[in-house]
Amino acid sequence: MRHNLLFDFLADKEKNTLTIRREFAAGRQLVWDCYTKAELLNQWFAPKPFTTRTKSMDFRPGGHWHYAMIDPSSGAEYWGRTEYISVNPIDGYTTFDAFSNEAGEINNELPRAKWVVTFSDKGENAVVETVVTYASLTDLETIINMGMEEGMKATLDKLDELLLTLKK
Amino acid sequence: MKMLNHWLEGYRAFWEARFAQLDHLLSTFKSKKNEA
Repeated sequence: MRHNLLFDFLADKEKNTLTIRREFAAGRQLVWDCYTKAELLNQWFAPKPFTTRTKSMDFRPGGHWHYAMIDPSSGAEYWGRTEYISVNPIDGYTTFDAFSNEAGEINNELPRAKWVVTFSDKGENAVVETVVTYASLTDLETIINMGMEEGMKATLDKLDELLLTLKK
Repeated sequence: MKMLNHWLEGYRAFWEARFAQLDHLLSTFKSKKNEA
């Protein structure tokens, strides 16, 4: 990552929120496009070596993004479905995030999170703030224990190598 | 709470790697624009 660009990662364990704030060396319109167009999301949303594949996307209030993060070494696919609640180009959007299957059926056994994504200007750069809210600490613990731990662990093992490469 | 902190550390790294890819994509657009 570019160390001169703002990056905040804040956890509020009282409010069950994660706030992720990041500056990008590009204008707001272009960054907005990268967050809201499937062909661009496919190129960055899943960290390498994982890849992202969009099955369907309809970016509008009431629409959705149905996608998979794919582990090329095992072929494992981790499906997600994001439902768009509100869209205000190019200021922000809100969503409900969920785990799903390939058919797009939401896994109701795993908690969902609300995402509020806000775009702003910082000189010629853009700043994106993502606030992820879980309904309760129990929900977050469920995600850790049931849903994400194994997939995340596998991802992070590979990420260690990636991050070392990025730091060189 | 220890597990939560461990997960947060991992999730932060996950987002860092994700953003590194977006940085790369944006720089690609910039290069193409400069070439045009």
